Amino acid sequence: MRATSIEDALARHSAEWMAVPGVVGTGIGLHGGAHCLVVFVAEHSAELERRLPRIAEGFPVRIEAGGRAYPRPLEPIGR
Amino acid sequence: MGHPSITAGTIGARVKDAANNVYVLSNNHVLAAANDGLIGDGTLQPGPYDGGTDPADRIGTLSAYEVLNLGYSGYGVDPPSNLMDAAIALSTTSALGNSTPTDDGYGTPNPLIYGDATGDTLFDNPSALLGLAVQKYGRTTKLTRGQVNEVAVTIDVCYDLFCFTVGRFNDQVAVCCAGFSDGGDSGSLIVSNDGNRNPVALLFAGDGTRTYANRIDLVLRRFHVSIDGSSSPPPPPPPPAATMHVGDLDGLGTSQGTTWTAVITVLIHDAAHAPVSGARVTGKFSGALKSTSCTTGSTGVCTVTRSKLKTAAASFTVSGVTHSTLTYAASNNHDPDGGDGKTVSVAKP
Repeated sequence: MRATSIEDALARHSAEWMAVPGVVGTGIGLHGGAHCLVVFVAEHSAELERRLPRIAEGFPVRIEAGGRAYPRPLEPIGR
Repeated sequence: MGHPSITAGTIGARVKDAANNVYVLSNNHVLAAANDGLIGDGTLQPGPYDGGTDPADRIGTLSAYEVLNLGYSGYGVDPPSNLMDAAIALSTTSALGNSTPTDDGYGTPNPLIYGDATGDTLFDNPSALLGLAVQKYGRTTKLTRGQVNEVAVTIDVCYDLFCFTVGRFNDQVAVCCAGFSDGGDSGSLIVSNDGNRNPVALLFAGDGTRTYANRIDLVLRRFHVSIDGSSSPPPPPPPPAATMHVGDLDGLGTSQGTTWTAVITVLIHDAAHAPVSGARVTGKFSGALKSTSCTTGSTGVCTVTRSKLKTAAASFTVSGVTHSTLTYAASNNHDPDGGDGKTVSVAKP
């Protein structure tokens, strides 16, 4: 049994993960129907796979690669 | 719709305050030009890119906005924190309707936000949004449907070309998948994809696989307004949205001497795990600049390839699946080979 909530686990690890170069976000998601921690990266890399955990405080950690996020006016800022 | 100095965004909803004044709800970067606007500036419908001019096409004036905290990010410096990219513009009921278009919209949003049984105007449990089927109507992609894939999201959003000016947004909602929104959809109201159409979030940003949105409960509370939605009883809810997912994701490498080719085969299932034809699968190879797509045939299978590879391995990640009647449910992806049904790696043969 886990001794912590996933919200607390995220709060404890988010800043640490956001400080890793290439990490652009964190959150709470689903993995196989159960809650998991999510780390958003700009692009998958071996270095990120090495530096980010697969499990944190008993919760699985899912890594999502989606590029950088931009606002969405008609001609997106930054594109 | 938008500020005279921007291109175009979307009207999220008509909102009203305690005195029954009505406002356009959208993003700061749509109504207030990312902090550059002044209170009293015009709100144009259509937006300047679509031919709107000031003052002929004014439907309102900028009333209030949450200041965007933007700054440099990198080398150990965190970007400034934000909760929302939101603004309101004072309007009138004659200039501003409260429904999405009758021909291709979802109707009128419910004045009651999603998941607020206590009636305190805040989500009772934000984590209950996970997996929720949602929809939105936007200027560019019109009516689209998706699913809340992550909550309590912290995401760094780039507000300039080279990503030097960044805002860190906390406690956001992420909606899957690619195709849910695009440029011009900023400001759209995301509501539940059922007969109730309860407001969930305010769309403001996106990347290759996700749309990011501000929690609507926090946005409405910030401006002391509520959704000026339909007061008539909602129609009976439609049957649950039919979904599809990746049922198998395989990779194979073939050698051509000094180079090699990665061949990826994707099988799309419906909710009953039957093959789906006519599903367009989009994804990206590692190291590739652009996404690649294929459309499934009668066996539910399609194939993408990347040739002239010289690396020791390559991977392919599915970013989205679209279909004329089915909604992509990425959380249901599976792979009989033990993978997650989203990413597959292929070693050089």
